[in-house]
Amino acid sequence: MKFVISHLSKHFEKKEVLRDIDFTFEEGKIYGLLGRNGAGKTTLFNCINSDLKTDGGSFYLENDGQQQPLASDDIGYVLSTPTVPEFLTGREFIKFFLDINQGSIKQLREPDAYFDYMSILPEDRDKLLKDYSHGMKNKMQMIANIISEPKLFLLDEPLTSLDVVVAEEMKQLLRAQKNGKITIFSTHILDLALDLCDEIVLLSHGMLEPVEKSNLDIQGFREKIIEALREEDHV
Amino acid sequence: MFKSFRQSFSLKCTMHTNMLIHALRQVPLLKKLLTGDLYAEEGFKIVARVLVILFEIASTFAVKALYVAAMILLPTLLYSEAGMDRSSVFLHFMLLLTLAGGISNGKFLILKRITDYAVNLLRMDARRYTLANFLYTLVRVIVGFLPFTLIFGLLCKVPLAVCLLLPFCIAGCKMIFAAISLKYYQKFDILPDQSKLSLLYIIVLTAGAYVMPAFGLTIPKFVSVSALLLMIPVGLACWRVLIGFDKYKEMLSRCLRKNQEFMNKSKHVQRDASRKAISADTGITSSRSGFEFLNELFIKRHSKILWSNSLIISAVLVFILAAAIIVMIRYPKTKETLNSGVLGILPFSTFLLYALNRGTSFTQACFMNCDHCLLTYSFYKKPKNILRMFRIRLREIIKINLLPAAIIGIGYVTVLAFSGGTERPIDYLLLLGAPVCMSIFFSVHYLTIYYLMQPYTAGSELKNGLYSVVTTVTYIACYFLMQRHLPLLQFGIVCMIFCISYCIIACILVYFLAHKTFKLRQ
Repeated sequence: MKFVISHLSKHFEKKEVLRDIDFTFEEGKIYGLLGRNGAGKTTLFNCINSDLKTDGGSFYLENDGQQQPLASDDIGYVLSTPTVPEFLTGREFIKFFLDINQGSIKQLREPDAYFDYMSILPEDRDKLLKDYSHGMKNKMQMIANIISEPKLFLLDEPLTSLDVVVAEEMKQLLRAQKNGKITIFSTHILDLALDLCDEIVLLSHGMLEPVEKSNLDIQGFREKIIEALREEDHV
Repeated sequence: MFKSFRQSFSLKCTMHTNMLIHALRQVPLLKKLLTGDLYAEEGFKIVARVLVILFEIASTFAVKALYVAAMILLPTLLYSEAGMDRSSVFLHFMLLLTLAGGISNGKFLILKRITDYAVNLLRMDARRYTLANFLYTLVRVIVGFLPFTLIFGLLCKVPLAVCLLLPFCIAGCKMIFAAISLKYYQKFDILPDQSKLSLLYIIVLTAGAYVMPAFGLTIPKFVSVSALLLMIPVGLACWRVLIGFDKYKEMLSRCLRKNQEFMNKSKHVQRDASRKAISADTGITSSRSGFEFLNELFIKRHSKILWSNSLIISAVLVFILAAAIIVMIRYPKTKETLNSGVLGILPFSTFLLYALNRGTSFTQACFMNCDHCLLTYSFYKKPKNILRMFRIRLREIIKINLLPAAIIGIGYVTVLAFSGGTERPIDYLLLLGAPVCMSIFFSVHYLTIYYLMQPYTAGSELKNGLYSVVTTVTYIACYFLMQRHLPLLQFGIVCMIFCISYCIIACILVYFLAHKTFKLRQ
C-alpha cells in the first residue's frame, strides 16, 4: 500500500503554503516530517484530513497499482494537544470506540486489554477523562487509533509535551504499530525524528523533499538536514 | 515628555487602526473583498487612522456629555421640580460625584494591552509614559467637560465663572487621587486599583449624592464651590508628588501582571465553566451502545446545565399558573383583563420562548465538551454519523425545551378557560399549539445554525460573523414581535405554519450540507 499526494496546492490569500506537492509514502514506514515554523506542516495534515479545502491536486491510496480514494475511516489524526471527550470515563471512551468500529475490528479485545497494553492503571480506568493527565489523555487517543486501525496515521507534534517515560512508551508503541500502515510524524525535534523515523521528509518552500541518508553517519545526516532547512532563509 | 506622548499616541492609533481593519474583515460580505494586504495599504490606513482620531475626539465629548446630562443634570432638574435650589443641587452632585469619580475613574495607570506593549515590549520609560498619558487624560477631561459644565451649569443657574472652572476642578481632583494612590503604594505596598476601601468609598459617596436630596438635604452651595475650587491648587501641588515618584516601572509591571492574570482567567472562563458543568458522579451509566450511549452519558452528565434549568423554569411557570388561577378565583374582576391578555399574548410568547430556550447552552456544551475533541476523529466526521448525531441531539433539545413550552401552552389554555373562555374553539388549539411549535422552532433553529455554521474554533473561541448576525437577527425579530399586538387567529396560524416549514427546510439543509460545514474551524 502507498499513499500518494499528487500536485497538491493550498494558498492563504497570496501566500502559497503548499506548492504542487508530489510525494509517495510507503506502508510500514514512519516518516518524520520536518519543517521550519510556518512551513505548512499542520496545513498539509489538515488538507489530508479534509479539515481544510485544497486548491488543487489530489491524494489517494494505491494498492497493487489500483487507486483508492482516501476515506475518512482510513485516517487517524493525533494532535499535539490530546483531544478526548472529557465527560466520559476512560472505560466508557473505549467502549464507545469499540461499538463504533465493531464491524471493522479484526481482533476484538476487552477494554482492559487495551488499558494493560497502554499501562493505564486499574484505578484510573473508571475516572472521568477530564481528570486524566496530559500523558494519559494522549495514551487514550492512541488507544482510539489502535482500535480503529487507520491506514494512514498522522501525528502532529504528539510527543512534545510528554514526560520522558511516557514519550519513550509512545515511541515504542509507534514502532510496534507501524506495520500495515503509513505513519507520518510531524515534529520540530530533530533528535526525535532521527531516533523514531525510518525516513525524513522536509516540507520546504511548500514542497516535500526526502532527505537521503546515503552513507552518512548520524552526525553527518543531522548536519545535512539542518543545512537543508537553513536553505529556506536564502530563498 | 511630549516625545513619549507622541510615541504612545502613535502606537495607540496604529493599534486601533489595525483593530478597525481586523473588525471590518470579520464582516461576512466584506471578508472576501478585504484581503490581508489592507494592513499595508497606505491610503486605506490613512482613512482608518483619520476615523480613529475622529472617534477619539468624539468620545472625548460624547462620554462627558452623557455623564453630565444623565448623572447630574437630569437628577438636578427632578429635584428642582420638588422646590430645591437648582444650582445648589447641581453643585452638590458635581462635588460628590467628582470625589467618587476621582477614585473610580481616575486610574492614571492605563492598564491596557497598549501599556504592556509600550512599557514592557517597546521599553518606553515608564515614568514619562505614565505622566504623558496622564496629562493627556487631564487635557481630555478639561476640554471634554468644558462645553457641558458651561451649558448645563448655566441652565442650572450656576455662576459663569464657576461653570468655566469646574473642568479644572475635576482635573485637580484626579491629580489629588493619583498622588494619594502613589503615597498609598509607597507606604502600604498596595497597588492603585487594589484597595478594597475604594469601592466602599465610591458607594458611600454616590449613594450620598443621590439619597441626601431625597431628604431635602444638599451640601451648602458655598461649601460645594469652595471644596471644588480648592481642588485646583491642591491638585497642582500634587503634581510634585507625581513627578517625584520613582517606582513607576515597578508599579506598572505589578499592575500589568495582575491584569494579565485576570485576563487569562477570564479567557478560560467559558471553557472552565463547561468543564465544571460535567457531573463527577461516576454512578451515572448507560446501557445503550454507540452514539446513543455517547448521547445518553452526555445528557446525564450535563443535566446541571440542561435539564435542571428546564425543570426550574417549568416549576416557576407552574407556580405562576397556580397564582393566576388563585387570583381569578379570589378576585373575579381580574378575569376580564386576563382573558383579553391571554388572547393577545402569542406575539409576546415568541420572545418568552426565545429567552427560555436552552439552544445556545446546549450547542455550546456540545462543542466544548464533545465535538471539540471528537471532530478530530475521522469516524465522527462521516456524513452518516453527523446526521445520526444531529437526529439524536435534535430529539434531546426538543425534549428539554418542550417541557416549559408545553406548560406555557397548557397555562394559556387553562387561564383562558377559567377567565370566561372564547367564542372560537380554535383559539384553545392555537394557544396550546403555537408555543409548542415555537419551542420546536427554536430547538431546530439553534441546532441547525450550529451544524451549518459551526462557529467555534479549535481553541473554543466564537469566530463566525454570520453566526453572530443570525443570532442577533433572531433576537431582534423576537423583540420586534413582542412589541406587536396581533390577532390570535392570524398570528397563531401563520406562526405554526412558519415554524413547521422552517423545521422542514432546516432539516433538509442539514441533510445536504452538514457534512461539509460541520467541522473544526481553523
